[in-house]
Amino acid sequence: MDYAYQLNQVTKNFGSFAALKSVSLTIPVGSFLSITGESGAGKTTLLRILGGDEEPSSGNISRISLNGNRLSSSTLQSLRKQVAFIRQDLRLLENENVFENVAAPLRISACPSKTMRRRVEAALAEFELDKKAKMKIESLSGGERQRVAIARAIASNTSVLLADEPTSSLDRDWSWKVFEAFIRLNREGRTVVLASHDQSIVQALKKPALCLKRGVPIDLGGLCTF
Amino acid sequence: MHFLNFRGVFQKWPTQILFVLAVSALIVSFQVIYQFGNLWQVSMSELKNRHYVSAYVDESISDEKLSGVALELEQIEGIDRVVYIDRVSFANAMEKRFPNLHQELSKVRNVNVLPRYFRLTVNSANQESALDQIVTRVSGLQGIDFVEANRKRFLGVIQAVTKLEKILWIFLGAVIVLMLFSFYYSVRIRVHEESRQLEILRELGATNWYLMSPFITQGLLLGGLAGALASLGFAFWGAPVVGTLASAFASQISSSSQALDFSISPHLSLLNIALPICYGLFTGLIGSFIASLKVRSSN
Repeated sequence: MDYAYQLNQVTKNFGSFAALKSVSLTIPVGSFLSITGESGAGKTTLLRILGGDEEPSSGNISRISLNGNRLSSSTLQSLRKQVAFIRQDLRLLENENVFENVAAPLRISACPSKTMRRRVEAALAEFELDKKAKMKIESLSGGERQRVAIARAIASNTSVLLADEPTSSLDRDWSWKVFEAFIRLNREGRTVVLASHDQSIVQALKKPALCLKRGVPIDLGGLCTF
Repeated sequence: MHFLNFRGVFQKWPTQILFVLAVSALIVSFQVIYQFGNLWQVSMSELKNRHYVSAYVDESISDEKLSGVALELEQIEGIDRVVYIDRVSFANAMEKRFPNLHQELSKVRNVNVLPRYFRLTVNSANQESALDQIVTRVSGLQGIDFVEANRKRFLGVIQAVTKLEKILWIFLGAVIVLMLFSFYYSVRIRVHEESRQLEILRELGATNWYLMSPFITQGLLLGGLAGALASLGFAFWGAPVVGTLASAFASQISSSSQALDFSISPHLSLLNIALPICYGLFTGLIGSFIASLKVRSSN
């Protein structure tokens, strides 16, 4: 079976603090995995390792056929072009407008102009941002900013979607719209890894889940049972 | 925020206009110094290989006998050219070549009788002994009052001009460094201001070239604009300055060496007008490229 990620005994230490301890995990291509656990359990660290932002302190990891814990600059660029990552701090381009923010990954991957416009406009319409396309990021509310980050990830042409608490600033209705969009993308073949502290969301999604507690998988490589 | 995205360049347009004006002023200075230096380099290289001997004619000799003296001079080995300078043509020639000397010469003519003399061009007289032999032979000719071959004074002038050339080259180097630093710091500041934006773009998979290209575009655009402005500046202001400087120095040299038989005047060719644009583009490209390398190191 093709896999998007394969982790073998991955540990991540920040000084003397172990954020992740011996995590072994295989995420098949086209799968949907939820990662849950209370605050400080290591969900963000695990997602950052998957996204190439962090390197494991020990253990082995293979990311989208890219082997090795340490990635060279060019390999990291290649990985990032294949992974859409919704970070908790959103990482939006404050000097640009909504449209340019959503279009940024497509511009970087030299997507043809017409295709780019079509994809961006579809994503903006899906998250009701089409009327705010020309607005600067600084003038948006917290929820709108979060929707821009989600629209950017959805519009991008990547094989993997990583989402770290993507609905923290959204109300319940919007949260479900976002999860429905994730499920649709997953059905279209994209690998989705979602991190959320809200176990009720993870339960409702009815997808395989990994529970972390203080950096340790409660059921190693397996699924949470609720 | 890609190669053809110019928006970022003109975000702070008042500052950028001041920057373009400052750089264009530097380019005009560069062009003025370069053109003036180049003018002298070409002229002096011609002058350095020559030696001039002035053979003053005896005032008692008639004009009819002068052609005979000229023939005898031409037959002397080592003399390449013999030119007779009579009083009127001397004055006219000097006035024609150096119009700003007109008043000075007029004054001289009113109080002094200008000399009649043969100017002898000796192209292969680098050896002093050979020169001495020529001087001795010319002095012995009937109709020649006295001979002047003041090589030392002439060499002194050339040395002074050579020093001037060196100073000009140092100035040129300084102006180039200033231009490069201007572009470097202008782009470097923008890289610093947009560091967070660049970091985010890198997280989205942007390559180094993708991140660097807007800054290089900025350098090229501002350099091109400054160069175009400098072209106009040189055409309307710089070239006349070079002309004035050249005339002033020519008058100094001619009075010191008494041997300037070619014109020193700048010509305003299309190349001279286009050169500032090339300087602007070149320094803009290099300065911004070096500054944008910071994007790579922050990887």
